[in-house]
Amino acid sequence: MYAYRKIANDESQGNQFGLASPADRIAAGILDCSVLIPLVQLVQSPIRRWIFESVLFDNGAQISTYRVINLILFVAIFVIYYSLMIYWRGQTLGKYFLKIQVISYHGKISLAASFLRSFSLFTQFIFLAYPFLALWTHPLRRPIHDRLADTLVVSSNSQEGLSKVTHSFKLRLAFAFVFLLFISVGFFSKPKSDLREELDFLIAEECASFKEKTLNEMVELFLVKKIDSNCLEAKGKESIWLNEDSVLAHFAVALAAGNNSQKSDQYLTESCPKEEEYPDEMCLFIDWLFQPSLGTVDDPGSVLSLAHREGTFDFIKILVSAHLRMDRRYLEMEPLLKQISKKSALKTLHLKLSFHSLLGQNKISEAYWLMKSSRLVNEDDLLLFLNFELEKEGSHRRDLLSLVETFFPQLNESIYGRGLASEDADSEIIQEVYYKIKEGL
Amino acid sequence: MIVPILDGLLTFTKAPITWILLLLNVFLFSQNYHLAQDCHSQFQVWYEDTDFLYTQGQVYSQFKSQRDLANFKDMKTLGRIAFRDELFLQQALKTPWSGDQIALKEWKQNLSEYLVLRDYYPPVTLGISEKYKDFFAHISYQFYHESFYHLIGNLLLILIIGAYLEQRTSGLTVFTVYLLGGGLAALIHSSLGGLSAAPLIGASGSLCALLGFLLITEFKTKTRLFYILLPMKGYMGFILIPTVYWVVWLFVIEDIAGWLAQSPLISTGVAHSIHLLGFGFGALLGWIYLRLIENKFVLPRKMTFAYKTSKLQKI
Repeated sequence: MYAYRKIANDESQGNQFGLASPADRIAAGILDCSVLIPLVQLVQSPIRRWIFESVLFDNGAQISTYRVINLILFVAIFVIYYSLMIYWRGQTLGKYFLKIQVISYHGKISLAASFLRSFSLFTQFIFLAYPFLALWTHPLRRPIHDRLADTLVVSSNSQEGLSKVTHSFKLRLAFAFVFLLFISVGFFSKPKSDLREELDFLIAEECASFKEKTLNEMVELFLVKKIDSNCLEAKGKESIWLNEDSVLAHFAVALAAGNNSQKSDQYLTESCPKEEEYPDEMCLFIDWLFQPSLGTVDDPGSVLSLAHREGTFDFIKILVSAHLRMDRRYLEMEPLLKQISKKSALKTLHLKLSFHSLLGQNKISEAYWLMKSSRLVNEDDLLLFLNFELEKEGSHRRDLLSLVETFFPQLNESIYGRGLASEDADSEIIQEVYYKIKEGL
Repeated sequence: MIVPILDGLLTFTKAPITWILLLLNVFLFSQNYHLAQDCHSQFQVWYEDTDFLYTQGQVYSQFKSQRDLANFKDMKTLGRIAFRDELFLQQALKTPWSGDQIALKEWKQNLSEYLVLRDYYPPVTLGISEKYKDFFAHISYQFYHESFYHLIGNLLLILIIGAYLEQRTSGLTVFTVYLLGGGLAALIHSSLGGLSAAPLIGASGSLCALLGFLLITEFKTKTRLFYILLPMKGYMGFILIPTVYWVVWLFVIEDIAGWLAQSPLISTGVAHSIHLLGFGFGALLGWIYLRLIENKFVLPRKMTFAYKTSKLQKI
């Protein structure tokens, strides 16, 4: 047996209770908010200050935590107020002024039912207030919170006074204008700053997961595109300001500067001032960046020798390996690649460079198996190598083409159709094969 | 939404002094509008430049640690806080700082430009701040607003409250409460060390003084407010509420809450302490008015406007 059935029956028999109109109920809610918000702000204020300062001091709290706690506090105060008022009088202040009341079939509303009603009332906002549509659709205007608590909202003199209120049209228009003005100011001015805050927050959150990494690890991760330049720059700058590993930190910021070559050069120049003697290996590496000559392994002052040393940063090995690939010194790449292969984070880069090294050394079958066995090396790498070969004078083109044929038998015609006469002819074939693979055959 | 409407927006002939005060506000605003906007747009560039803020935060962190103060970690927030510290701004360019020298060089150049531009910025020259806190600043800050919405919001309320008071007391009283209330609030605020490099501007302090005066002189008088619960017939209109209820409910509580929530380190853009001091001095002037003046010169209190019934019950 539900309360509304009994009341519905009573109503049909001329019961004095009438259902409260949706407008009355919404207006009561708005009035409650207007009355309560200053008080809620007052109760919240010391907590808001404490939370806000804890955010400033960065005690692990984030802006999102601050917002969530504020929201929980806000809802909790409203739920307590609604529960107690409905339990005590069956009315909140808003309902009192609008002359509507919450009643229950079971007589006086229990505190538990009152709490359940209030709590479910606010949780409906999670569903974008969609359940409130029942105010219009349900025959007894009972949204979920009323049904859960088995209550009904009624008005003893629902229509009294409504029709008597008249206002001049000009006055209504003037206030509507002022109201809309303030709404529009709020609407257009807030999102911009919120968006910026959100963006800063997202970047900070993304970088926070790499907080424990050392700077050289961050550089490696950046080189394999696992972190954003913002994170590397932030970490680098933090290290500069803390005077930790200054040369590496300057290099990290320069690397993160990317296309901003002026900024990049400034930081690289600042990292190892010329007037001072820097025996540091990082300075040797940075000098090499300005005058990229690899030298030989036997020359102790060369960057190649530095890269081959045990204990040298892995990112130096990576960059030197990439440079060796450009110079087509594939054989010298191998020992460096073996050293960086130990790190799981560098696995992809290691495999790709190894693939290039093997192809370059004419170890086609090994390259083939590497490509076959590893999902990390794929057609794109082959394309990259083909492109690389097109730009440079290559000596392994025929072997390369045989590898292409192994992977793409359908290109047989393109490769062997016109015979293998000269290097120029090979270039044309490579170009044709390259574009066919690129365009999906 | 509920707003005080009292006697409504009275014309110049009915409340000349209130209107003169309003026109002074409008005059100062319009005279300085373009200069303020130009400066403001340039300041925005710096306020949104994350590199500039980060570097400033790092420098300010060094500045603070020299004084055994807090060690923040959010450098951009700290960079924003630094704009409020006049002592820091005075010493920032003279002190050699350690750290990222490239960023520091750029930051020093930007900061020197900021400091030059600041001296032309109308809110700084007309407002009250740690740098400019002379007698003139205590008066001029009450008549200058930076943004159009700040101006409109304050002026509408001043017109409603000021004109209402001018009808019941005199123009001289309104003028005195406006100037003395706002001026004394700023004086106490500055002598308690509440000022920073960020200037205080706006007639809010004076408006609060008028509200405080109204609160005391019309304590239990039922005054007219306009409410709008829903934009439909029967849910909007006028309501009579004793002055004490709505002044405390709509204004005082909010300012107390804002003041309690406000961290001394970060400005929310609203000087709640000035508002509260304004209320206090306004109330004090109201009390003096009742005790000393009204007893000698009894003024007629006419409640001529008629109220319409509404759905809301009268309190």
